[in-house]
Amino acid sequence: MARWDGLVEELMRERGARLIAYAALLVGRDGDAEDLVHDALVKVFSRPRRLHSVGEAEAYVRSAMPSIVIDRARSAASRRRALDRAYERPSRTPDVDAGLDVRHALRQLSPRTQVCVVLRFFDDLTVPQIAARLGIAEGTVKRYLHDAVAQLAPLLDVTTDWDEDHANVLVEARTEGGR
Amino acid sequence: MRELNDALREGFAAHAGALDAAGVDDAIAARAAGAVRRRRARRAVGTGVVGAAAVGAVGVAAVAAGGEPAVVPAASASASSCATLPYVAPNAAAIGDTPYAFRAYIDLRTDAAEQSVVVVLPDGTWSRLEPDAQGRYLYVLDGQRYIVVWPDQGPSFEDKAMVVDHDTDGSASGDDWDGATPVIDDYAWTMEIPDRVPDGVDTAWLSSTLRTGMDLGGMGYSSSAVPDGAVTQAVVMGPGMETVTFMGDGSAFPPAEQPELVESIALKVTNLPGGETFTITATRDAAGMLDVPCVDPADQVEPDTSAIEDWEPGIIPGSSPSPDASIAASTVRP
Repeated sequence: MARWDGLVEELMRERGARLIAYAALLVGRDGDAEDLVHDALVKVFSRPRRLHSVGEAEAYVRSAMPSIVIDRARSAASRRRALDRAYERPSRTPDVDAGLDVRHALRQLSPRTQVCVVLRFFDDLTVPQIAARLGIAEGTVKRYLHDAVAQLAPLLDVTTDWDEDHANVLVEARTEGGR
Repeated sequence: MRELNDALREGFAAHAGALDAAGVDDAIAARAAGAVRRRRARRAVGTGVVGAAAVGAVGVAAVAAGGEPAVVPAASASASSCATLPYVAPNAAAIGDTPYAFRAYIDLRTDAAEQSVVVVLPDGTWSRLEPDAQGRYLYVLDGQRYIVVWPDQGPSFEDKAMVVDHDTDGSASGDDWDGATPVIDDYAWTMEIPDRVPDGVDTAWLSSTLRTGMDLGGMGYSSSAVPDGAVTQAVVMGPGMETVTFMGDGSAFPPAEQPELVESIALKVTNLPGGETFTITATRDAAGMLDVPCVDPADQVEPDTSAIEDWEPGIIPGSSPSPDASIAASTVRP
């Protein structure tokens, strides 16, 4: 078995649950999350890379997911129009109950906004980092995040306070003593 | 009141824990490994073709399938010399990043000497399909199920044989077939995709659109395949000939005025963020000899039917309700 082959198996065996859970934050449904993990695995392992550990592979696969979601969202409508022959994927994986409230809430957002929220509030990327990663303007990212937080706050019972720079959030919050 | 960061992390941890306890489906890794293997094989075959062409010989057949090769002039685009079986594997070197799955040779004409539905993969392995109780021919590849022939929903094959190329995204494109002559049009072409792909460029979609310029089936162009603000041009090159056309949504690659002179076609993406340019190219061997891999009887494999025994296919919402019309719609030709 080729080295990459074994690594894919090992990765899914050891970190598959984490990868699917992360993907589910980006797409909302468990079945779609499995599809996303599959696509990210294919994207990462189709090109020769020197991945030395499961941890390194996990990081690569995770980092591949947001751009796949964005690309897929942009072309989904036209792809659907282009589908000409009927086929059905294997039956959808039912959603696991655990943490479902979070995924339900995230699903209310547009795909691009959902990705921005995960990169900002789960991966702790700054606004400039998110903008660079997704190839969109910083102002656009800020707008997405501002609107998303306002939308998610009542659904998840979370505070609406946030700032574009993660480090500044903590400093300012403590200085003001407001949180 | 908690912060959004905490909410996401708590949700993630709970979800991951539950998934871990239930066990992750092994099929995800298996399907992904299969797809990776095919993609890597395509790249390897493509490299071999470029190298061979540079020294005046073409050796894709031995690399791609290892079956009974037929050497034919490119200009004739005919491989009637496949003595044993009239099937040729799809040319992996012409696929690029198209999400290609397999080619189906369908001859169910009532007057056919032997009715058959044969599926051939780019690696040369092939399977003969049998109908289920409803007369449907279904196929499973890497855990994904495909409808190859569906009498009640698909085109009627009583009067015509067809060759249909299926993609993993569910699309398919077909063309008439005489039931005897292997289809080798794609062997005149080699597609090359640069290793470095700019963010936001969908090489799968662009590859598919470029195939329409090879007179193979594919998707019409979509501006969603490139980043906002980027512009895509179709470039056709030949001796004394260079035409450039801006691509618009839905359009196939524009036809060349003198197709027999075409040496290469390309989709060139400009105005990318950072000012870079990205080009995928398909070169055409118009005058050489094509070494075409007729399938090898020894490469026949039994199709996996376990995943389709209880499958009742459904129609994807939004797909055309008219099978004949849908086939035509999917076969985008210049």
